[in-house]
Amino acid sequence: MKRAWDFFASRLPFLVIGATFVWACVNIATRTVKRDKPDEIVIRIGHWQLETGVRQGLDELAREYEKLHPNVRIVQDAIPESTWKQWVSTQLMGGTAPDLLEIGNMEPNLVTTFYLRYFLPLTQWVGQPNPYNADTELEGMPFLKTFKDGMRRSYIEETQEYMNVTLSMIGVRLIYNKDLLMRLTGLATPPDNYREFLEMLRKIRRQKDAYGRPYIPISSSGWHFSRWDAALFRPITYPALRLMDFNKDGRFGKEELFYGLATGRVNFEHPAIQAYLDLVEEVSEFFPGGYTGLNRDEAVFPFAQQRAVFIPAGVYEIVGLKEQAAGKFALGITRFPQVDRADPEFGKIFEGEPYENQEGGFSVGITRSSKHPDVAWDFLQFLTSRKGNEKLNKAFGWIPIIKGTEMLPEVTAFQPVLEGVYPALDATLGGETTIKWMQLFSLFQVGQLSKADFTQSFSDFYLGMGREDFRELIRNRYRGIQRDEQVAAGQMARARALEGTPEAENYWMKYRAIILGRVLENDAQSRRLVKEVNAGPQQGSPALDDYSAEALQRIRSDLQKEKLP
Amino acid sequence: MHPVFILPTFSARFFCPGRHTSAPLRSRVRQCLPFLLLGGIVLLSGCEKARETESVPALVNRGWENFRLGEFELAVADFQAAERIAEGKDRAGALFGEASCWQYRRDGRDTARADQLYSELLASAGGDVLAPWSELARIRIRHFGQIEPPPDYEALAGDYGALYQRHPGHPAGQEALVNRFAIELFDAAKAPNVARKSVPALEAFLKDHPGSPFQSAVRLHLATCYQAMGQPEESLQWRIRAFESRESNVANPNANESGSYWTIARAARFEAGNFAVARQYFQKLISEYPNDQRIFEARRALSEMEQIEEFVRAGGNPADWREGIKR
Repeated sequence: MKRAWDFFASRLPFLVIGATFVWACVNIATRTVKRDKPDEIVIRIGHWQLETGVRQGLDELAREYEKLHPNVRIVQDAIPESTWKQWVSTQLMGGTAPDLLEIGNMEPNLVTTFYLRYFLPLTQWVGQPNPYNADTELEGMPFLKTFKDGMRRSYIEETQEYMNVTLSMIGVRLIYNKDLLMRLTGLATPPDNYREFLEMLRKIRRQKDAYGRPYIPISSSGWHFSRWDAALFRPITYPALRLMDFNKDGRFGKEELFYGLATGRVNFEHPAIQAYLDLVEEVSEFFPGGYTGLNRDEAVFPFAQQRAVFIPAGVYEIVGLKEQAAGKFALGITRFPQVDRADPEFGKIFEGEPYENQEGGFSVGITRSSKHPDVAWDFLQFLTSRKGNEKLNKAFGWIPIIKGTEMLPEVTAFQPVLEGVYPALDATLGGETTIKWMQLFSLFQVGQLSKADFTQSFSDFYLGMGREDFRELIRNRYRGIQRDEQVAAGQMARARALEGTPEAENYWMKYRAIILGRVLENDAQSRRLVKEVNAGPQQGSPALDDYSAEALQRIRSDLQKEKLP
Repeated sequence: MHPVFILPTFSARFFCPGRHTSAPLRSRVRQCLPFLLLGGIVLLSGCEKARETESVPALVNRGWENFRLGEFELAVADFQAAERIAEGKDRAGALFGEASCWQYRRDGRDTARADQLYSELLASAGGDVLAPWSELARIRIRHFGQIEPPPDYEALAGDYGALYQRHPGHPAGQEALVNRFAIELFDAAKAPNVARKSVPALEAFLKDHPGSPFQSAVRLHLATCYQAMGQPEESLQWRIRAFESRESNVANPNANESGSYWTIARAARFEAGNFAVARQYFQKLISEYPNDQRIFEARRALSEMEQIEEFVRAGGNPADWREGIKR
């Protein structure tokens, strides 16, 4: 008996593995049988959007599509965000990925690699009209023109192709408990003005609930801080951009901050950067103690329990929050408060409200392993038709991406502001500076490091150890150039293979766009950037927003000519 | 261990338990190894045989498809199979493909091997259309083949220039010319003499190759030269000509004109002081790209130009505008 038991015990692990293997085989075999019913096409769509309403909305549209196409069945694979990266990687590498796959939620370099290896370019289709827009004002319009953002986010420079389709637009606003706000402050809506908003928060904080606990004016966490950072704090740094816009393109790049500091054009004492730290200090005073250690869900609890009045939320969280509030309290949605020119402290720095990017979210691509890419594309067209996208986003509770669509009334508050300022501060140049910034900034956030100490400590570190991060950033640019060259070589091969046809010129154009616009441009800019940074502060360097002597002369002479008869 | 080998190993253990009970697993695997290897060789040789029955164009096309997908091992195998059976022009295509794999793959990159294959192509098919591309690729290996230390840019510029001299009518030669001036003019503002010397060669290119797709890039180099030479209005005009002769990829919404509008408007405003052109291009940006991030700054620029003009009209010195205008 003992011998038999020993025999069994010694083989137990292998028996378990074997049984699992057999179970997996049976499972796969039966699934295959299910899918391989004659005439039935199964289209799988994989995504990480587990927010309330998304799966239901997709299901609803899928069933409608199935009615129109009885031989097609749509199946959803909704995967938690925490395991998304691993799941996607294994599915793509194993050739078992869904036909349609949401793209993102991983490092940009990885996304680029995945695009190149595992996704089908959609360029051939996006110029054609969407057949599901028949009998609407979008009928006959090229697919890409039916999008509010012109499918800008779908065109991937590295591949020079359209690679995805976005289903929605996203936005972030401040959500509040209407009943609690009224009870604690007597206000039906919160003020837009920053100073008045702070005053209201003070009033909230002074009051206590039935258990004697003070109310939390703003529910927050490390994750929620980033919402405030983008919507209120960081945009105040905009004026500093003019001092360090190295390539004069009107946009901010993190290497430009290092350039600005290394060449002495700007420093962390700049009023715009100091104003940023002031705003962080003033507002985070109303966050719960130790909020930086809380996660996203933990910040929602006090709001749902009516202990907190405000919480920032993305449009995709509204349905969930509404469910939590149902029957307990009314939800309000408002824009983040803003500083204005009359502000006694920040008025001189303030230039305008923050610009909000009008680009799509929920990007979906077609995988190369799809057996029916044409059907997958057809389903995408259905989801992004005027009627389909409106219905889908009403179910999601999000903002539709297609022109002429209507949205839920509460979602209109999420419409982006399209004219405004943007941040000119990102000191996370690479690994070392990112860690240091996080360490020191979290101490500053919780009041364990003063603004002056933070400025001094980080500035010293950034200009010292930051140099290695800067060098690595430049090395990464050259790694990017190598990848661009590879894509260019592929475009050239296509062009050569099609020589003599009209498409060949299209591929040659793409080849030259990569070589001239990315490879040579990045090489020349990187060389100049390194040269300037290594030269350090230079006497007499003209400011980047100064008029040249020739320009001033021309202005005068043009105006003199104006006076002539 | 390759998954192909795992299943037989486990199967052997499960289906023949009596035979394997006494020996440790490692020795059993060792016993099976020759058979597994043999099986693997048979499998691979089967694949090779299949490759060799295909035509050269099919192999080369598949090689490039694998190249684009980043499957470099497969691409190299395809190109090598094509090399074994191809002759003349077809062989040049296969060699070029294999060389490209060694040049551009990230894992297992071997630029020396790529260089050797390009040389082989040049030696065996010097008159082929791919020969100038191979010459260009060989210079590119020295330009971008390694990240550190930086290459000898002066030598590279010389080599690019020489390649253009050898193949002025070939797109690879013309691209080499653009490469040469991109290197030489990277910091032209601090080297006006280099800029001055570059102008005749660039203007000659425009005259000699009016239909070249590199016209726009060369005009942009001229804009850089004139800016460095202290002639901002001339520079602005070249910038506009470069924009007007650009290749327009209408399928690319990001290759939109907003960047060009911004750059021209900015140069017209700050460098040339040509407010008419600045206004024209800022307005184009605002009206054609109302969602662009830079609209705020474009409107601010328009307003500031108005204020400067007011200030000068009122007798102010334009050099004192900052002090004279209260923002």
